[in-house]
Amino acid sequence: MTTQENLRAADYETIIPVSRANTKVFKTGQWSQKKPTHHPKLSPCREACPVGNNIPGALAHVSKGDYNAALALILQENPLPGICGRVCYHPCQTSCNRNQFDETVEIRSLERAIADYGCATPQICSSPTDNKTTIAVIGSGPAGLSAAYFLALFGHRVTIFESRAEPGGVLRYGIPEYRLPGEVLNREIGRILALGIDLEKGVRIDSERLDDLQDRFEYIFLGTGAWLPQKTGLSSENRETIQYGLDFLSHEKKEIFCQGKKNIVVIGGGDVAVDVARTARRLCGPGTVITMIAPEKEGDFPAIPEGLAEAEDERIRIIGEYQPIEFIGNSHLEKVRFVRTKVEKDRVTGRYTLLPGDGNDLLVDADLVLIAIGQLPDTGLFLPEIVDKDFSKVFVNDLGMTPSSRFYAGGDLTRKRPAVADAILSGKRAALSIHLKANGYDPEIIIPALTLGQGSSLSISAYIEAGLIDLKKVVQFAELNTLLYRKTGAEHGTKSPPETRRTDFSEVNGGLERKAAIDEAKRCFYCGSCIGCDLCFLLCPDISIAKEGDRIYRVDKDYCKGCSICATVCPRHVIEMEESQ
Amino acid sequence: MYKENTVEDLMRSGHFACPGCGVAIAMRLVLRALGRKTIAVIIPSCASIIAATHPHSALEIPAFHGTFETAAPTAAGISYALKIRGKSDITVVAIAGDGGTFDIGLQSLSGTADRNEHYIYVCLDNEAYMNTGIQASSATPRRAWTITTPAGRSARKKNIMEIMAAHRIPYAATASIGYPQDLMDKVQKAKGIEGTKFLHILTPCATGWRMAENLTVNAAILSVETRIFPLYEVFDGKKYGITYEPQGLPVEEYLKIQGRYRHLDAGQIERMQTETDEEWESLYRHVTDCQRKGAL
Repeated sequence: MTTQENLRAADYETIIPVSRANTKVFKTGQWSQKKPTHHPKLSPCREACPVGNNIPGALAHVSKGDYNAALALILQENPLPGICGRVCYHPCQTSCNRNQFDETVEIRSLERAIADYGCATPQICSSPTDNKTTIAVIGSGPAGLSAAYFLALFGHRVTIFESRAEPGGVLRYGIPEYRLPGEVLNREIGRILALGIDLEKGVRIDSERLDDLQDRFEYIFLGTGAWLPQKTGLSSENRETIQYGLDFLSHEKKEIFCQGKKNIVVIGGGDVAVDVARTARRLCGPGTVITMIAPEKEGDFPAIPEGLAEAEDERIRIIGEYQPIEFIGNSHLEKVRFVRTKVEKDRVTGRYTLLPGDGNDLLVDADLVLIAIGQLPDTGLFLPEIVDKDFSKVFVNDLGMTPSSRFYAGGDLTRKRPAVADAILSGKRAALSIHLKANGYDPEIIIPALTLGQGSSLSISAYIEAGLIDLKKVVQFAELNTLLYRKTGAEHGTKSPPETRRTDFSEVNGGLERKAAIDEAKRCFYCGSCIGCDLCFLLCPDISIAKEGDRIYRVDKDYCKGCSICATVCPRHVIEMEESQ
Repeated sequence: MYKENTVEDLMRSGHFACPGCGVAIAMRLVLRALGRKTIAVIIPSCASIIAATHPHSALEIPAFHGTFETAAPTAAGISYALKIRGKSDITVVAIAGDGGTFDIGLQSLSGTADRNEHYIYVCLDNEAYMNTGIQASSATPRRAWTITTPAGRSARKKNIMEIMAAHRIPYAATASIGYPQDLMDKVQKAKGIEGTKFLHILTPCATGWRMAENLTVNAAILSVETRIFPLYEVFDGKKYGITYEPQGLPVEEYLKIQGRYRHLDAGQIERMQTETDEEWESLYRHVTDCQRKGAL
């Protein structure tokens, strides 16, 4: 036996020291008071979205190809995603942080892809112990459908009354098929009605019926829209060859107005005017000259820019900064005289006023004039105390309630922004108010707490899963770590060629293919939403962030030295450093 | 993709690395990728301080603290011993800093690479002797401040990857803590290859680079995106491949966050850009050359 073999393990350590103790005895977290917290925040797109869609959350599902989960998430906030994904004016894309990097994520096209490719049923969001009440919804446009949808999800008994033959209101009778195909509309309305909502079609509500409804239902939601045309007020306006926007669009035989017409003038610069012009193009064929004239500056039209561009592709002439002054012609209309005008926006009230502009008058040949300068609600049948006579609308407060406490209202009837998404918001707000009131909560406290950021939109999912996301903090572009992103162009859907569009009412926009939509969803920054990229976990030099499940991380304050790498590296600004004690 | 419950951390909290240490991140990622059946040889460097201050160890695997110039032969020796005892499933990794690799341990590293000994050599490069107080090494880039190069170093950074490629070892790769998945993938790739494997990992050092401690990872990302430290691998000394296509941001983006480059004027920054472009083009030529040869 050699001397070496006689040495026992403990003796070795007098020659070669061995570290056997664990460094975990050193609470290196005491080196700093700064500790990170994971706290999801609001993305600017979601703040801007009137419906309050959880856009980063849904796009994260799409990026993994999971359209079903994406649709389930969208349905928490939006009863009509396939419709919004086609016709919305997408304020989300205007506020997208990616605008400051390369170009916006095509959120609207993605919402459409989610609605078209996904399959999900809306989640009931009430508990069995909640009080249930009865509500009559008058009007089945976007506001009424939205109110009915959320009320049904809260477990209330809802009956919709619709005066026309089919439900949908302006979605069916106002928006043409080439923008919103009937099967999409039927699919989305079908999903809402499947929640157990009764629909009474062809029932026009008069004052007698309204009294009857007040006996039968606890609450009444008014969503009758705005169908009366605004007129120019010119003395020469009353002719057959002058038609009005929604009247024209909803007319069963609108082609008779267009037959044989050579020069059609459309007055107005909004979405209805664009739809009127494009519908006329399809009814008249390519030979007719169609001119759209509006008081706004070209490029400043209130209509969605994509729609205007498509109208121009369909050879619709667009002229800005003119307003009609005279309709010329004896028995038949021959010409319209326009004067130069300019629009000024009042900085305080936000109202537009028309002022005379510089330049000569414009004389346009016309054998048909289609006026689409706005719609007014028919408020004649409602209780006088809830109607604002000066502006011909129904009063509502921030909770969607009219001055009469059993009546709620939304949509164009309240003359807020006349868009589908805003109508959905008004229905959602009224539904939540009614639900809260029926259960003895104070909506005046809860609804402001569920408002997203500085905007006006409202989140139902925030009501269900309170506190998961900070609804008041909106992630700014400068707060993102954009080092980990690459500049890439957006994926755009296909459009049918303009030549075929001039006679055809089939849908113009083809939407995104499944694969393209997944690629586009991957472009999303997911501002403020954790997508489980693990960078905070993997890059902690002190191994003080533990991963406890999908997107669940726990900071071990005993060892975190407060270096802030996690907060700096996070590409989505989910993590923030806070002083702890 | 990170797989739940199949990968575990073999480094413990409570070690004495500076806050925001790039070396600690790199060590953690390397050990995570290697797994529990690993023996480490650690020579004097920041890594040795992080791994253990006697009698405490921050590692959950056996580690041998060698002398400064012998990381490579010690690891090779252990690897031989394991082979003799029939324990072929244990990986031996040598962990050294840039001083122990570029300067002091280069001779012995060259020897083991020449004999193609079976082990992984990981160089955690923070571009100076940070542990002893920021003295320049031959890994310090030209014009960078250290306490021994107060006006900026005059020589260019030694191209250790070319040296290792010239030994025709089976695998040599660069990796960055800014790209943890790429780093771990390369470690696992190295683990599966017989012979000497060399990994050159840039580990930004907040203390020595004179920058805020939260910026180490962003500095690592910028070093890659500006092409100062491109991510690539070399098989058998001849087959080059770029593993991450950098954006080619201006080098100034990388330089301006570091206090050690604060003294640079516009002309010097421009020369830095030119030198970086040259290096990149030379690397890119290697890549396209072997793509062409592969096509023939």
